[in-house]
Amino acid sequence: MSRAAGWLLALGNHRAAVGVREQVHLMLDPAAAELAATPAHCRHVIFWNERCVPVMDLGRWLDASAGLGPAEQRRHLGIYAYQQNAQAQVEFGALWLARPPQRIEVDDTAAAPLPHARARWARVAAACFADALGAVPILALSRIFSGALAD
Amino acid sequence: MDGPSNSAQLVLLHFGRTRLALSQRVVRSLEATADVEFGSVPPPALGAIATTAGRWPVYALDEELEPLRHVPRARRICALLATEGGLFGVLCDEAQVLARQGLTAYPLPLAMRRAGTPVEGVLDGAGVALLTSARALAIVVNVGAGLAPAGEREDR
Repeated sequence: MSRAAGWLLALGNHRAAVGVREQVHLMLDPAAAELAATPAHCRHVIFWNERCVPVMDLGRWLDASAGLGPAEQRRHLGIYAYQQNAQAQVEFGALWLARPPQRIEVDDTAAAPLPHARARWARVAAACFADALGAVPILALSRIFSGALAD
Repeated sequence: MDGPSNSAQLVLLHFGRTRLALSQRVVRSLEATADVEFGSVPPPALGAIATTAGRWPVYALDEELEPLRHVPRARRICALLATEGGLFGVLCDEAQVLARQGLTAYPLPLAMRRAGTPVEGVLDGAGVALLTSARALAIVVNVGAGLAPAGEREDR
């Protein structure tokens, strides 16, 4: 049995997880700039470490028909590092979070299928585990920020 | 390319809360919206404006950079933009010239690129603005559908 550390994220009304090394920064009170003519689920950027980092409202993308949720669901920002492949340079993307991430440890016996109720999870999740509250998809960050969700 | 990346001066056009930055090279003049002859040309143009170089179609955009069929009262300036095909006007609320120095331009992140978007990048330094080009705006407003015979050609 192997164990891995990660962060449990609150994405609107959804829960998801990332690897412990993927989260590189947390902004509790972020100042994000809204850009016109951008997708409803990715309207903001932050300027961080001399980069323009897109901010994804993944909860909104998952509930595309529900419209914009309450502002409390976009209170904090997590910044995440990812690579398109092992040789590619590290890139960064941010996610709106309803609560600060919670450190977790997961072992491989907790593996579980993705939630059936949200078929969209298959496009943004690399794997899934279950805890006492249900399924927790593990995010595939390179897919989320690659532009595959843009339209 | 007529985008602003190589230009020393930029022009910021305001559309409500949205600010677009273009190379000053492609902004041929700033006219008063009062000088536009509305209804004098077929859609999608809203009207036309005459200069010494010709008569050019005029368009309006909303804050999301979608073409408008009616002109908001705040659009009091007509920015005359140059492309390879000629000039066209875009109505905006305000226009200001900005030195490129001290501003930082970034490409628009992949996750934010919608098909057909005129936004080519993000400009930070004097607030936040969207980088675009006259060519990209011409596509959004569909200039080809109402363009008068070519007048001036864009400087290169």
